[in-house]
Amino acid sequence: MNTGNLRSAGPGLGRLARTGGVVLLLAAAVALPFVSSSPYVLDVAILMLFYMCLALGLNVVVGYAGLLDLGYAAYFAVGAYTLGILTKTFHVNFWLALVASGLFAMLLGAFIGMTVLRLRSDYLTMVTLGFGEIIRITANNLKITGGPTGIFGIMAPKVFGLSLGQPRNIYFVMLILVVLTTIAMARLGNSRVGRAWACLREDQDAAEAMGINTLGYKLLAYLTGTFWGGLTGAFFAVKMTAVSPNSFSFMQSVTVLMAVVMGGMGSVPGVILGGALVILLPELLRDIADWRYLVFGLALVLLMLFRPVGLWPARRGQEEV
Amino acid sequence: MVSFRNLRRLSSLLLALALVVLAGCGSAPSQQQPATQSGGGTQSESGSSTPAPAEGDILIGAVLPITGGSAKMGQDMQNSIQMAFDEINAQGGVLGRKLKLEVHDDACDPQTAVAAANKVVSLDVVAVISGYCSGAFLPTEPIYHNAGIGVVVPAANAVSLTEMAYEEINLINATNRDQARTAADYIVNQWNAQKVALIHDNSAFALELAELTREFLQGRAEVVAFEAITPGEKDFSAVLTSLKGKEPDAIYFTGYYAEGGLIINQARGLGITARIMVGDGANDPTLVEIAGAENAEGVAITTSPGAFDFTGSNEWVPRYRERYGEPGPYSVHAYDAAYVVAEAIKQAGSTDRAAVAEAIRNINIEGISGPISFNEVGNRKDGYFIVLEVKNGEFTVVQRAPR
Amino acid sequence: MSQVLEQLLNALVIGSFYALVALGYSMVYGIIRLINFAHGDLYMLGAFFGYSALLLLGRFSFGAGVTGVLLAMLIAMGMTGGLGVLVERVAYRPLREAPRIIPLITALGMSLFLENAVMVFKPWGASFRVYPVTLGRAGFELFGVHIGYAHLAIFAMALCLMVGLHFFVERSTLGKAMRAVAFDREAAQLMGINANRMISMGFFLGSIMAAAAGVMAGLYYGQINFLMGFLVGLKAFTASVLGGIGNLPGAMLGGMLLGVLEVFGTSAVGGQWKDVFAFGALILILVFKPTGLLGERTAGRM
Repeated sequence: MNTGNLRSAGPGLGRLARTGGVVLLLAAAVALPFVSSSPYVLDVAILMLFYMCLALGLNVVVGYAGLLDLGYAAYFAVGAYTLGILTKTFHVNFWLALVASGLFAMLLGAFIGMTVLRLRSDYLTMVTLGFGEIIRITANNLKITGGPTGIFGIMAPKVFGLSLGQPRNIYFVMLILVVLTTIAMARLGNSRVGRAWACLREDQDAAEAMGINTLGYKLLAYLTGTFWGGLTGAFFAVKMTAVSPNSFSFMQSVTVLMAVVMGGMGSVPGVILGGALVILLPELLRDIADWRYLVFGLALVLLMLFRPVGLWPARRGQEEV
Repeated sequence: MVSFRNLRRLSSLLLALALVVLAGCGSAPSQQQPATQSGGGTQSESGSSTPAPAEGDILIGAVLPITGGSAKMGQDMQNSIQMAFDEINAQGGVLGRKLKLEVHDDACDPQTAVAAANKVVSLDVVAVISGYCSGAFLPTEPIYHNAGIGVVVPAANAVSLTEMAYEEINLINATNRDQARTAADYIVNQWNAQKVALIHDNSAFALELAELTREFLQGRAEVVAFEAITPGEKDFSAVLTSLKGKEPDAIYFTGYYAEGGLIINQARGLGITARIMVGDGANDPTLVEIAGAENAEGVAITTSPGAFDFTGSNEWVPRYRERYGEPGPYSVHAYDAAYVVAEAIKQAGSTDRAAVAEAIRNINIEGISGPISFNEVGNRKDGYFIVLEVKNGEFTVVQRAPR
Repeated sequence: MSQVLEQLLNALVIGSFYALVALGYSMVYGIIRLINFAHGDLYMLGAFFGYSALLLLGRFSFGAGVTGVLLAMLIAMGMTGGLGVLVERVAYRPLREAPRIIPLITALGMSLFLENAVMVFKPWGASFRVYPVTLGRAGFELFGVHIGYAHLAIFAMALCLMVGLHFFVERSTLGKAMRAVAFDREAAQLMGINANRMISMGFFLGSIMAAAAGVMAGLYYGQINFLMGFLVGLKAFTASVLGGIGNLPGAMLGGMLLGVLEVFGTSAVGGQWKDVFAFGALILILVFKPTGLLGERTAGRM
């Protein structure tokens, strides 16, 4: 039905516009630190990249597999804490710690996933919220995580001689990460796995009937998403040089979810846009700062009422909502 | 029509990027920040991208909670600093130049604070005054350290703040260690308590204070309970009931006033007759309101000397009052911090960050809060806490001198 | 022993609040399969409406007495009930046929909106508000336990409301119609029941329960603020699941049970793990007995 929209105008034109656009965007992104001397702009851009990463990760869980997870910040937290604890307390090599962060988050995801994925959608949502809070409270209470103070004084590593403590360097690292992830996620979405996810998202019973191992695929989505969250968390710890339980609250999970929902669930360009917007909009609304969450809440409601597909929806997903 | 749609999407993305650049370049320093919910702050501050003039005003940065739960404290401190600067400028400024304040909000949140610190460091500020919430200030220390900027901390006082012994960080307020010692001494000496219960709210500052107090009570009184409550909750009956069973003579609550008031109220309601003391996080008149005047009677508070308690206060307070209304508990500290910075620049004879930082560390001036100088790790020398008691609904000083 | 009794008393009070709010959750879920995230905020709004009502009524002589309090509670219940119906009409009804994730997100947005609307509304604002009237600590001793009249009042009030609701839902015609809609909406409509109106009624009833709880919380604890609904809402949801979602007696049982769990959990492992208990209970129940202790009362649907 709608999937043919690119074809009707002629294959060449649409494709050209898209590739051209992407190239332009990339060029702008690469040029940014050199064009603008404002450290503020760079800082905002780095935060935008972080949230894009998180949104891409959550997108696999919410967008591809259709699981509304309200505790995503927990994986972000686990990744950040793992990196912090391993590098600061145990003096583990950065790269090892980085991989460990992703793996730990994935492990947690496996544990939670196995518990939760059999539940129906609303229960799954509440339970993930519960787990998110449990993780945060645990991080706040344990000695090894530094209690409420958290871990501070995390040193940035040197990558090819460049210190990641420098904003410009971490900007480029995050940019590369976002680009790679985007390619990977887009590929994933169009693969066999992606199609299986689409199937189970639209009608779980039908998918089961067709022989798709729904639990297995859900778990796969969940593990992918959580690994990604953990990895991003590790980089976050490096950028912030400190990790504390405050950064992993329910509101943090909501913000990432907003990015995914606003941009368009299941749509890679959509969630990237969403990730950028959740950072940008508060900046533009800075004068009415008190009203930020009010506007967020209102935006969510209005969005669901009038444009539930999001600002830049996935092509394939048009029919659902 | 189709490529149209793609172009439209494309342009929206480019627009987004353009907006970032615009927002960065075109905006004036703002003092507004959201994030009243816990930890939700994800954005950084706006600021001018034009560098400070080489000659002309000297920029001093301030990172304080201007919004959020601690907004009142932050705004108080901002007012004090401004008052100090205005006085100094009226007398010709420093090194012939005027002092200009660059305030950025940390919303008492680590993430926001780090962003604000990064921002401030990137501007041409010569020194920074920052720190009310210890938890928010802590992660910003390496940022200032790496930039070699001297920092004077008016209010935050967790012991962990000077643990890393950065040369740039200096605390005006006496530390939690002093507060714990004062509390323990008072409880043992004045109240003759033998069984003490400690309650904290599991935040960095409160936990530290409770742990230190436990240390100081060792060998002098038995700590019968060491409990945590969750901030934001209202019902502490469970914790208090189990506390009641241990029959403490005194209870020390190290958290903030909202919970403190409720705890006092509920403890008395449960028939707990122990004497109650609260830490300086609960130093706020609303404490009495929430607790109820009868229940609050006789409650003691350990706190840094406030605006009314210094020898210099008699003439300082009316001046502040005229401009801004009633001073807050840290107005004097912030005022003194401003003068420390000004003096340091004078003594360094330049606006070079490293020179100023060193001058701050070596400062020796007389502030409203008494003689100010810092020891080798940045703590205030001879810092002390006083004890207030609630009498007839008002806070009254009952112990001035240390120990 | 008196300690245990004392803790039970605490649990009873906390449980009453949870139960009242849980009722609303259960009712709404039973009728339209929606976890109304904003429900906890209706509890908060009830407290605030009551606060303003008490302030207003304070001008009259009966303001601080029982009449004044009851009047304020009625006002709060009425206003919150109306608000609940409005929210359903505007935000949830258009999305009734949409995939489940959509109204869930709407509810989340609504919750954020309500909380922050209270925060920016100047007369209410972000700081803690002290309730103009509070229940005192007066009471009597029994088995070494101090039982306050306040405790009894809370429990009695909650019980009255719950029993009232129960009778309404089980015995009255309207109640029957509501249950019919909850059980099978289409069949009910075929029988001539106006489903929309029944759903609105369900929201109204749930909201007034939450509002009453909110006012009582203000009276009992003396202090309210715009975030008070968030955690209570979550716990109330846990309670309704514990008892069996859609099941009203279950919600009441769940509320009490959760109160007990929390209170004894706190004495056992300390206050900082209290919420972990509540969430842990939620997870365990959903994993091992998702239909709750008293069983669910909804027509099955994934």
